[in-house]
Amino acid sequence: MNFAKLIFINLKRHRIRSLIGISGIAFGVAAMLTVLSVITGAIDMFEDILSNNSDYIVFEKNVSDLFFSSINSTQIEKIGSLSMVEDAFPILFGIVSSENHPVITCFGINKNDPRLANAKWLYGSPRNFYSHKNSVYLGSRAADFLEAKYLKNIRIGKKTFNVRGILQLENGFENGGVFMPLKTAQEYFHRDNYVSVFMIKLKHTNSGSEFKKQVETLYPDLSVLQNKEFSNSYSQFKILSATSWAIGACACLLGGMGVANTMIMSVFSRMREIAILVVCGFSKSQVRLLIFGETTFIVICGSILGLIGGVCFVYLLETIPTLNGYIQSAFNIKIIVGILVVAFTSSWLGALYPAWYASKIQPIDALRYE
Amino acid sequence: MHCVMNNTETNNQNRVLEIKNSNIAVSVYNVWKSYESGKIKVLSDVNLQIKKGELVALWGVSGSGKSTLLHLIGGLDTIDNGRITTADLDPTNENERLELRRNKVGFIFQLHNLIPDLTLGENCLIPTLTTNISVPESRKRLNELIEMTGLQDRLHHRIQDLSGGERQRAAICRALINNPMIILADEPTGSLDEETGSQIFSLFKKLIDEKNITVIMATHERRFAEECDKIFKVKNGKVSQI
Ligand SMILES: Nc1ncnc2c1ncn2[C@@H]1O[C@H](COP(=O)(O)OP(=O)(O)OP(=O)(O)O)[C@@H](O)[C@H]1O
Ligand SMILES: [Mg+2]
Repeated sequence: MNFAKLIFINLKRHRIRSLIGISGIAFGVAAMLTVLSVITGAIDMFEDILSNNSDYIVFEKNVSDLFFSSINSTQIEKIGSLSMVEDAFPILFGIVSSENHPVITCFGINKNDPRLANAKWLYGSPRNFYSHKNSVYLGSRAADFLEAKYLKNIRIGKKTFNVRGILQLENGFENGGVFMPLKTAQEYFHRDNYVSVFMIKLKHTNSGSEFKKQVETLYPDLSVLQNKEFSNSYSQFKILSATSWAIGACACLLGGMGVANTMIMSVFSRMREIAILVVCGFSKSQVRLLIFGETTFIVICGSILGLIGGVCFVYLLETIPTLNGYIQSAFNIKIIVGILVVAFTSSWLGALYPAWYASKIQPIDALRYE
Repeated sequence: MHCVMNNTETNNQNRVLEIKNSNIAVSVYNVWKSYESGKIKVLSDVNLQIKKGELVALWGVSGSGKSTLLHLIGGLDTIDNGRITTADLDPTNENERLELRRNKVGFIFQLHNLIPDLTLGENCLIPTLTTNISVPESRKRLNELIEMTGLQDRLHHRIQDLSGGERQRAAICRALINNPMIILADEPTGSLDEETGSQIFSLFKKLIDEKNITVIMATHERRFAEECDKIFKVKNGKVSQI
């Protein structure tokens, strides 16, 4: 006979009730894991677009979204010619909506952009990137959903383009994107001489702060951030991340409330039994420990099931053809620990009342009650 | 009025001090108990002393207050006024009450109050979870008690599979497992037929002889009361030895 046996006996006796408590927390954990891993995956993908083979990102100060950032050609030229810069890649982001495809992300880039060299070209070649006017190069998923064929024309928004290449990119966003020569993109989006961001690779990484100082002195309206700094400070990422944590935590809290309910039922239905334990010498804290022990067992089972379920669900999402590529899940220790902290905290908070109630049971009242 | 109360209180305390370490197991002084803020008066000015090793009956008709008195002695309920000392401990003090329940008294109820879904053996071992006795020691005690009560081949049966008499015997084992000094038994034979009741009662007497335990037993059955060392009659809120 030991304490754990007393915990299990009650869970076993009310299997359905215990299972409901476990499922509640499992669904909460799974939901939180799904939301967080999908959003974190999306943020990772976006970061990846920006950090491709570069150290620093230059963009317009105080813009809420990089799509609204503007850097003009004079600035580009001047920054690109600074002595510590090894390579520089301007990008113009644009979004086109059409009837069937509400969001098509376009990237206006130069021929030297590392993406072109790193991608696997299914059709066409990076060598011809600039040689055709009105040409577009499609990520393989974009080619799929736009039903585009190599060397055939397609309509993007109000304009017709010729597909001069189909390339497979690792990054899900990029693979679903449309690449155009920078000039073509500037014309198409009516932003002649402007780009959204300027990615910089330095000759020596230790010249970073000098580079930053020079650019910001030259152009006070521009921001220069290291890729890492950028991800940490970019408000869109912060909002997305905070929202996903909030939504996830709500799901988990609901699970925790389910556990609370299970435990309240558990205490109410065995007042007499608890009274017997008190008569046998159980202290108030032992009674509370019993309730918390049951709660902990439920959360442990629920969390394990929830994590397994969540991982399976996310992998399932990744295999759904229409979502293919958009979802690149990211599971990391921070997410897992965060979920467990929320699950355990909410359940333990939920167990406070039942535990308090149980410890207040007066044996005499409970035993008189038939 | 205040003066008188204080005097009585001091006297009581002195007497309580006197009896410490003596051969008194339970002493009850000027105890009052009522329910529903005085509307239901159950015990009024009750006094009694029980020596160590005695088998005592609290005898009276239904509703006379036998259970109430037992509960007060065991610290399961609170007194309105007066003083009770059980095994040199004050049941109104939380820590002493815990010590009382853990090591000094064992309860036996009319309804066995065992925990369903646990086996007989597990039920008997529950009180050992509250003390420091080692697992082998508690096993040893259990085996001894099980043998005494003749439950050897029922040890691993669940409570719901046992007969009323077996359950009551199991409850006795549970009450005795922590080697208490006092057993408080509330109609231990009340739910049993006459013959099983007699068996349980003789088992009781045997255990008391062997283990030298004080037993206070509430009963309304004259035949059991008469076999005890002392009978306290509970009537109209008063308790008197007969
Ligand atoms: N919690 C309570 N609230 C109100 N009245 C109570 C309470 N507990 C006991 N009583 C009353 O106190 C009186 C004594 O009750 P008690 O249970 O001590 O009697 P008893 O002598 O043990 O009776 P029985 O032989 O039927 O067990 C009864 O009239 C009972 O109704
Ligand atoms: Mg009674």
